[in-house]
Amino acid sequence: MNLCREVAERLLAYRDGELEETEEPFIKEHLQYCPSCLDLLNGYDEVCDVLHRLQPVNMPSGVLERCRERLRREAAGEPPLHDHGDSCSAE
Amino acid sequence: MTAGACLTSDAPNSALLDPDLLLDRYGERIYRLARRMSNSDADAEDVMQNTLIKILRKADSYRGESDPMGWIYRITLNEARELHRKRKRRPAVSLDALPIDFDETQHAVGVSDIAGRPDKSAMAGEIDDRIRDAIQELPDGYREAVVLYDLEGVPYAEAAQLMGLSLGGFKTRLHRARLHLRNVLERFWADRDAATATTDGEAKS
Repeated sequence: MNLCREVAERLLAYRDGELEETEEPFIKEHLQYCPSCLDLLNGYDEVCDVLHRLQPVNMPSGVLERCRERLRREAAGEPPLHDHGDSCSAE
Repeated sequence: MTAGACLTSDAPNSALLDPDLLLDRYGERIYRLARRMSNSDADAEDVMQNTLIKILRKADSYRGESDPMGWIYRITLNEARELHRKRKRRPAVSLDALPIDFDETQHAVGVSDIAGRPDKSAMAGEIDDRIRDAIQELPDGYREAVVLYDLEGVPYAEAAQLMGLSLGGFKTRLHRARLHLRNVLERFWADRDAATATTDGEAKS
């Protein structure tokens, strides 16, 4: 189980390709005979598959124009047209 | 991909001082990050506007790297946190409820049948919605880890720096956030299995 702990600590980086190459053989070997650690890796894969296929974010129409107007007023020293309630306070 | 990899390498910092250039160069990326950190389009727009104003106010004193995208990301994350705080939103998942780094008991018990799950593609829309909601329910630092690395493609070291964490601290957050999301998926399939069993039972009776 201590070995599993060591593997689990490195599994995230292994899965993401961020592990030191020298440590990879140790992980690969362990995964061949430990179904629990392999399950942990499969779980990471499953989550990442979903995350990577999430729809891209599209900016709704009008956002850029409203931001442009807000920035223009800020640059000109004019107050915002309306208060969002969350505006930056002057520093 | 790095936070600045999608920038042109010669992006001058003067773009930070010009509202039009600022929006043209960075607007879409600021909105994308703001939206992924927010619950709604309206909140994302608030975060974006506040981020842009902050940038404009601080641009004069910016002395960072020639590529300011990391700086911009940091301001965006701070504004998203600030809006959450103002909305008095508490994460739906408390820190204590997140999976621990390594649970020996849990580890020894279960191996789930991921490959054996039926008809995953047909459920993709529902699964995506469940995961998107679950990301929003995470505490700030955990949501940021997933959004920066898994959705924005910011490498570990850079994401850790943006969040003001050590590399180890960042990995721990990403690890626990993913374990939580995995548990959400497990519950999704368990709910679905239960619903299917109920339907089958009703059909037979």
